[in-house]
Amino acid sequence: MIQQRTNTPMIDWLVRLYRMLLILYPADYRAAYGPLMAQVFRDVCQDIYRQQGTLGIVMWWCTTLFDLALTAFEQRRKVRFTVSKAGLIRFSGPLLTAGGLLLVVTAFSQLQPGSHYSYYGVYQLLMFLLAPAFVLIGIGNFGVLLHYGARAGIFGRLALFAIAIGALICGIGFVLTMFRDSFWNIAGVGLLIYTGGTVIFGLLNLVMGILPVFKIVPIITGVQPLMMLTGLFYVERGPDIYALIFMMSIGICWAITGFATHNRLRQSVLAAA
Amino acid sequence: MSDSTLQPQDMLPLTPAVFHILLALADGEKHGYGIMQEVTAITGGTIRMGPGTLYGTIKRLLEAGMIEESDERPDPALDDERRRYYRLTSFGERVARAETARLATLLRAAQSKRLMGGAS
Repeated sequence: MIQQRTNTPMIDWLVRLYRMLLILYPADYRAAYGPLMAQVFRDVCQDIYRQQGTLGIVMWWCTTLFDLALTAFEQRRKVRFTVSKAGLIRFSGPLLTAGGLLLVVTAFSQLQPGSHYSYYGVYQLLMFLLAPAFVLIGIGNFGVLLHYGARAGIFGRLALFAIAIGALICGIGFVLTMFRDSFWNIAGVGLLIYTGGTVIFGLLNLVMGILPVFKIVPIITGVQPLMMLTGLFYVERGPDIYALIFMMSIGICWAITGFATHNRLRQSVLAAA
Repeated sequence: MSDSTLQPQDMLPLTPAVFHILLALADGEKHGYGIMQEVTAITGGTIRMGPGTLYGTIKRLLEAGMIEESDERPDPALDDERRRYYRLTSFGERVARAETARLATLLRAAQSKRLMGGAS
């Protein structure tokens, strides 16, 4: 049964004010629930006015204001996180592709003759691209972690996290080496973490097929760094065609991974539409 | 949309607001204000949810697949047709049962330690 309305000018005024304050909520939330919230607010106002009079309304208004402030903050925080998470997932494919292509270009630095301990010429120019390449791969892998983390299992998630963090440390380390040689240690630590992550994730992907690429692709991104770290492979003097092939294969594998990830995401968005 | 791999135990413990709403819907569908009145009644008037908490929690429960919006609309002569009615899903009912069992276990533990029967 429709309840008897107890509309007073005060209740009407409070409801109007409450409706105005609903602007504090995110637009989507407001559109979905704003009218319902205003209706409930009015219903409670009428009930309380009948039972407790004006004092009750004042108490209810104070409670509602507190509730509104807390829940509006909560909804806004949620929207911001959801948007940033969705954005990171959406851009993870292009980021990985861009990072991979930069690595492919950087690979040509290995054709530089002479010592690879000193920076000069084409080698220097191309090695500058290594830092943004690893930063893009690092950020892209955070998106991969968010998107594929659930099916990767706990070890897969840890490995993806290691790839992302390791690549970022590597990227920052490469930039810092321009100022002091000892910062190679930072890049080295990053490379160690990155390699651990790529090898573990590569093996898991071989078994479980987590990513929408050929199962072999992810582990290739960790093979050369693993050989470098274990001393099986190193480049002291150029030109070195093997180093070029290794670096290029890592870049191509990241580019393929990025392309496949983006393509799969686009297909699932189209399917959901 | 609920994740089909989730078990009721994965959702526990529930927040008081969530459990109160599930409890309010346990005996049939209700609209937002009806839920609020039921919560006030079952808590002896000690809890009156604000509209923000009520609909924020309803949104979360809908996303978790614990409740759903009812397609049936009330007779305009009997109720305001703009209201939206909500009801428990089978998953929501299982979650409510699991939470009730959890609370019952705690209650038995409190009884065994003679904590029941009013504060002295």
